[in-house]
Parts: sequence; C-alpha cells; structure tokens
Amino acid sequence: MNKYSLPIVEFTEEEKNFRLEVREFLETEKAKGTFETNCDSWLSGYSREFSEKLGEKGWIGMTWPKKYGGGERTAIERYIVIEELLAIGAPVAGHWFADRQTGPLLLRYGTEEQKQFFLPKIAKGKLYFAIGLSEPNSGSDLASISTKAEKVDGGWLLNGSKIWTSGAHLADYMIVLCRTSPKDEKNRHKGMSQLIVDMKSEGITIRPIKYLTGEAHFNEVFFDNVFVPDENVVGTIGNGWKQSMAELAFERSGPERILSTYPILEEMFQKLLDDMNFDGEDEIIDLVAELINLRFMSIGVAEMLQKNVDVNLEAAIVKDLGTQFERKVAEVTRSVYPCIPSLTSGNRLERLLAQAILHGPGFTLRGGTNEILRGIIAKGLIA
Amino acid sequence: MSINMQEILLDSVEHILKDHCSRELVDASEEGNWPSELWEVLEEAQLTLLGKKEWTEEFGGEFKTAFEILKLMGKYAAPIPIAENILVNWIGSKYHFDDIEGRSTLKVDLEEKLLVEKQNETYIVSGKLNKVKWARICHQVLTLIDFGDQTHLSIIPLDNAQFEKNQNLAGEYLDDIVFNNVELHSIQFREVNPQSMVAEVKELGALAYASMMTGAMEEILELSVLYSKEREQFGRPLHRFQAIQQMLASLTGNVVSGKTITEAAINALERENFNLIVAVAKLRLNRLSGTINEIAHQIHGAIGVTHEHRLQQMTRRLWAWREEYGSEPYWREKIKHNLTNNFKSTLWGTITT
Ligand SMILES: Cc1cc2nc3c(=O)[nH]c(=O)nc-3n(C[C@H](O)[C@H](O)[C@H](O)COP(=O)(O)OP(=O)(O)OC[C@H]3O[C@@H](n4cnc5c(N)ncnc54)[C@H](O)[C@@H]3O)c2cc1C
Repeated sequence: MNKYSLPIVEFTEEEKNFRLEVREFLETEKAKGTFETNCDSWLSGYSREFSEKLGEKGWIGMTWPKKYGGGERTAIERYIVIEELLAIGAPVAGHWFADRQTGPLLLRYGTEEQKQFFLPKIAKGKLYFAIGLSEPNSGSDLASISTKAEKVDGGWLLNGSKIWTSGAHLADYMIVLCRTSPKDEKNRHKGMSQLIVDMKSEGITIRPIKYLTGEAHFNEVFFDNVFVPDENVVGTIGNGWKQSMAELAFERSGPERILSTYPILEEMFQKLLDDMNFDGEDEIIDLVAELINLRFMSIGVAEMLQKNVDVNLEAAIVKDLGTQFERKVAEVTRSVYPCIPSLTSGNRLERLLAQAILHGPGFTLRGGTNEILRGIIAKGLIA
Repeated sequence: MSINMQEILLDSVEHILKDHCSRELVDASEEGNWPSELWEVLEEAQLTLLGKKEWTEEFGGEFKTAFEILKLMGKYAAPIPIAENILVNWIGSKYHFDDIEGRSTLKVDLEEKLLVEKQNETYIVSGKLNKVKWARICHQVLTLIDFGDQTHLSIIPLDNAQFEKNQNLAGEYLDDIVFNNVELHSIQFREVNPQSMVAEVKELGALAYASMMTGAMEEILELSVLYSKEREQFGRPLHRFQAIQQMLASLTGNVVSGKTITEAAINALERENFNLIVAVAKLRLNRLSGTINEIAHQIHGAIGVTHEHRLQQMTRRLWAWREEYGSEPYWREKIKHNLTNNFKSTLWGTITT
C-alpha cells in the first residue's frame, strides 16, 4: 500500500510569511523594471544584476552551511523561493544550475578547497556553472559518452565535445562528465569522472546553437587538449557516473518541471475573473486543479530529498507529469482564448503563449526524456 | 491516534477483508445476495461505529482514520454501506441525534426532500428519494424533510418504505426509496441551514469516495504490475516490452497523483483550506479514473474484460464512483467560487495561502 506514498507538507505560518517577504521583494523589483515576466525564464532568462540581488538576499545556496556562504535554511524554504521566482517568471538562468546542482554536488563530493573556493561565489550570484553531459553521439544513452581526459603531470588533458549545454556561453565553469579510462562494454558505467572546467581555459571553443526561435540558449563546446588541474576533479576518479546520477534527483524534481509556463495560467485566471461566464473556464479550472495536485507531489519529493531518502522514481514521476502539464497550459489557453501568439506582440498573454509554445518541445526532453523517465519508473515497479 | 495504533488497526481491517471479502462475495452481492456476514464481522470488530463519538472516545481514534480504512474498503471492493454508515455516524453525532443502530444510508439534497405532517400523535412521511446507495439493506436514511414551514435534517427509519431497485455501473445497489404515507410514532429532526448542510455532506462524501477510489486505484496498479510479469508473449513477459513499460509508468503517475491529492484532502480535514482541497481532490480523482481504467484494461488484454477477472470489479467501481457526491461540473463550480471568493490579488497568491 505504501509504495510511492509522498508525504504531505503543510507550510507553517513562518514559512507562509517568508513566502510573502520573497514575493514582495520580487514584485518591487519587477515594478522597478529590473525584469519582465517571461515563460521558461529559468532556462532562458539571464541577468547578472538580478542574480547578484538574489545573492545579497541570501536566496542562492540557501540550504548550504554558513561557512560556505550558505544560509542554512531548510529545503522547504528554498522550495518557496524557487516557486516564487518561477511564478513571476524572473530571469534566473544564470545561477540556476550552480544553485540547484553544482552546489549540492560539491557539498557531497567536493574537497574542502573546492567548497571554500566555489560555494561562496555561487551563493553571491557571481559564479555560473553549466552542465556538460550530452554529446553529439550520446543523448539518452549517456553512458556511451566519449569525451575523455588523460592523466598528465599535475592534472588531466581533456579532449572531445559536449552539446546542448545550456548557458555555456555565459558560464564561468562547466561540470564535465568524461571518460578517464577506456570504454568497457561489460560495465558501461565504469571509468567516468567529473571535472570542473574553467570556461576561460585554453583550447575551449564555444559554438552557440540557435534554438528554433533563433535565440542562443544552448551550445556545442569543443575541448582541444584542455588542461584541467588535479584540484578540479570532483569526488573520486572513476566514480563520475554515480555522482552524476545523484545530481539528477535534484535536477528532476523541482518546481521548474511544473511552473515553466505558469505566467500564462495567471493571466488566464484574470480573464476568468473579468468575465465570470468565460467560455473556457472549465478547462482553466481543470488546469488549476492539476497544478494544485502536482504541487503537493513535488513538495513531497522535496521533503523526501531533504531527508536523504532515495527519490529517483518519485522525481521521475513528477517530472513526467509536470512537464506534460507545462505544455498543456499553453495548448488549453490558445484553444479557449482566441489570439495570435507572437514573440513580438505588444500583448503580454500573446507573448507568453508564444514563448511557451516555442519552448514546449524542450520541456519533455531536457533533464532526461519522458520516455527514459518512464523506463526508470517501470523498472522500479517490476523490481 | 498514534501512527502505530493506526497501523495496527489498518492491519487488522486488511486481515478481515482478506478473509471475508473475496472476489466471489463481491460477485454474489451484485446478483442480489448481500453479504450480511461481512457486515457482522465488521460489527464485531466495532468498525461499524466509525465516525461516532463513542468510537472516537473509546479508541482514541481520529476521524481521519476512518478515511484510511475506507481506502482499504475500496481496495477490496467491499460491497457494503460502510462509507454511508461512517458519514451518518459522524453527522448524527455532530448534530446531536440520539444514537442510531443498524445500517444507515443518506440522501441530503435540496431537490429531494421528504414531506412530514403531524396527524394527532403520529407523523406521516411521504415522498421519494432517488438513487440512494445501498438503500434496500439499510435500516434508516439521513435526509432533509419539510415539516411545518421549515426544512430540517432528519433520520427516517426504512421499515415501511418501498424500494425501486437499481444498480450502478459496478452493480452496487442504488435504489429509489418511496414513502407512501408511512406512519411513524416518533421522529428525530434537527434544525439546520439546508444549503450548508448539503455542501457539508457533499464534501465529506466526496472525501469518503475519493478514499475508496484511491484504494481501488492502488489495487488496479498492483494487478497490472503482476499481470505484466505473469503473462508471456513472444517468449517474454509483457513488462519486457517498452510499450507496456510506458503504460505502466503512466499508470503509476496517475495513481500517485490520485493518492497524493486524496492524502492532502484527508490531511486538510478540519483545516481552513479543506473546502478547496477536497473539491480539487474529487475533481482530480474523477478525471484520473478514466485514464487509469483505460491503461489498465489495455495492459490486461482480453482477460481483463471478463467477468471472472478481478480487474473489472475495480475499474467498474472507479467509473461508478466518479458520479458519487459530485461529478466534474459540481466541483469545478466549487473550486471557481472558492478561488474567486478568497481571491488574493493573484491566482498564485490564492493557491499558496
Ligand atoms: C532546451 C534543452 C536544454 C538542454 N540543456 C542541456 C544541458 O545544459 N546539458 C546537457 O548535458 N544536456 C542538455 N540537453 C540535452 C538533453 O539532456 C537531451 O536532449 C536528452 O538527454 C535526450 O537526448 P537526445 O536529444 O540526444 O535524444 P535521443 O536520446 O536521441 O532521443 C530521441 C528520441 O528517442 C527516444 N529514446 C531514446 N532512447 C530511448 C530508449 N532507450 N527507450 C525509449 N525511447 C528512447 C527519446 O525519448 C526521444 O524521444 C538539453 C536539451 C534541451 C532540449
């Protein structure tokens, strides 16, 4: 009976007040013109200024130890900040991966020097990381990567390439998953390691890949004899696969797998308020109900993650359903509210819809495709 | 009730159901052989007192526990008015009705009130209640009556009522009750606000059925996983086929959604946001049921659509229970009103308070 039971989290009064504090700050910044509301802003909205403001507030690296620049806040408080940022569509892509993945990775596997060097800067919103997993010939089958690092005096020599790397053109560092010993078809997960690569290193070429809208979000990154010093190895040489997989639970379970298109739903609900017999209201109410349902699930996963429970399957379930929901918000909206979505429209809803439709295909691909996630869920069921 | 106590209680309920609520028994009830033995076992275990004050006091139990027990009732497709009994016990206690014995059902609807008139020392009851769950095997019905110039909440014995028998999609009894100038010597009634009474019953009923639906959903998932391991085609078990794996995963996602929102609603009981969460829960459970049934039947192939297979006892219940205590339009309207009445400048602000 208890398989896949998620805990129900009710926010405390203090947490609710904290949420209001975060919201007030964001609304003030928005009113000042610091940013504009956009869909999918966690992947495509960059602002150094805004990242640093969040750093000043202590809202990056919130859960990390104070000695590394963190705030020692709870995972639920972090969850609240993340939700508020997404709901208002703020530009957070710059520090997103470092806050979500790299920080927890280094806290778990990093050396003392790495923690002291990187974490405080990340928490200030000044240091951006990119995630280098996918390669031209290795997408879903990540274990087949061929980018490799060879041991040299004092470090490693990196050769190969990564692709689809979000924000690599703006990042200061990249966590690169690579081979440090040759492929072994009998044990495909062996011999991989994670390196912290300085994007200013010699031998790196970054080629932006235009997204279907023509915008530059992701890149192909080439490594030609890039030297990576020993002190930039994350964890243990050869343990890269396991370390990467641990990172994925953080990557998959967050509210950004539900709320990428939330700003549209907000606009639509305002329409419903203006016209209480609005034709499409049934569909809009169904979306709101689904959102409430998904939030309970996603917060439950966050709570389990905080308690160090293995949540790979639960995170996969939430991401599978949440990303489909993100797309549904756009599809339902355009079917109940006649308009002409356009990125250049003067009308906010038309602009948000355009962003959501055009970014939609990526929702169910990035971070592991939904088919791969369902495979993981099914294997967990059968086991 | 401590978590531990609750676990022990749920364990013993599951034991009872395992021993006394077989697939055959569920089939037989559908044929009209109502399983009074199952009811007696539950009576002995004092589970028919669930929802009454004395149960709460004696067992240190919380009302929430009743809904956990209902999940198990759903999982075993128990063909008995246990949800109805719990609701009448709870509402009866809350509105200070004298203790009730035997099986109870309910129909609290502004459109279907009974008419009660006093003649000398007797009360004359007339009118019709439509589609009342399990009516023919119950001893009394909780309902609204018009008496004098007022609408009251009342518990009316069914001894001299007539039944027009019907069944829902799952073969559960859903009878019309006709009161043809039935004479009663005494009658219990309480003054209530009829509108809010109806709303309250709808919410508690929705939570009860959401709980049972959750149990049925979990059983459907379990049956589907088992079958995908057992059944072989092309020389391998079904679960080795990716198409089946994708279906199993989607099925799981839908079941976990249903479980989570039901749990959230149970958790919200007697809290401020209960009205919203329970409305969302029933709407979602209704919507998820269709998808869950579709996938589970596809995985099971032809065997799943036979009367002999247990799957149909679960899937037919999900289809039927969508209509209990409010189908989608009712709950959408409630959600809309809840959100607009409590509106806090943005939708986001409203759903996060
Ligand atoms: C917007 C965006 C941002 C991204 N950002 C990053 C980033 O920052 N860093 C990074 O490393 N990567 C990034 N990615 C890459 C992403 O992780 C990959 O797209 C993803 O892992 C899938 O790989 P692929 O695109 O090569 O598709 P493929 O693996 O070639 O898959 C193509 C199709 O086949 C299906 N398929 C493949 N294998 C199986 C199987 N075994 N069973 C069933 N179906 C299968 C897939 O589900 C998919 O439908 C990003 C992608 C997008 C779209």
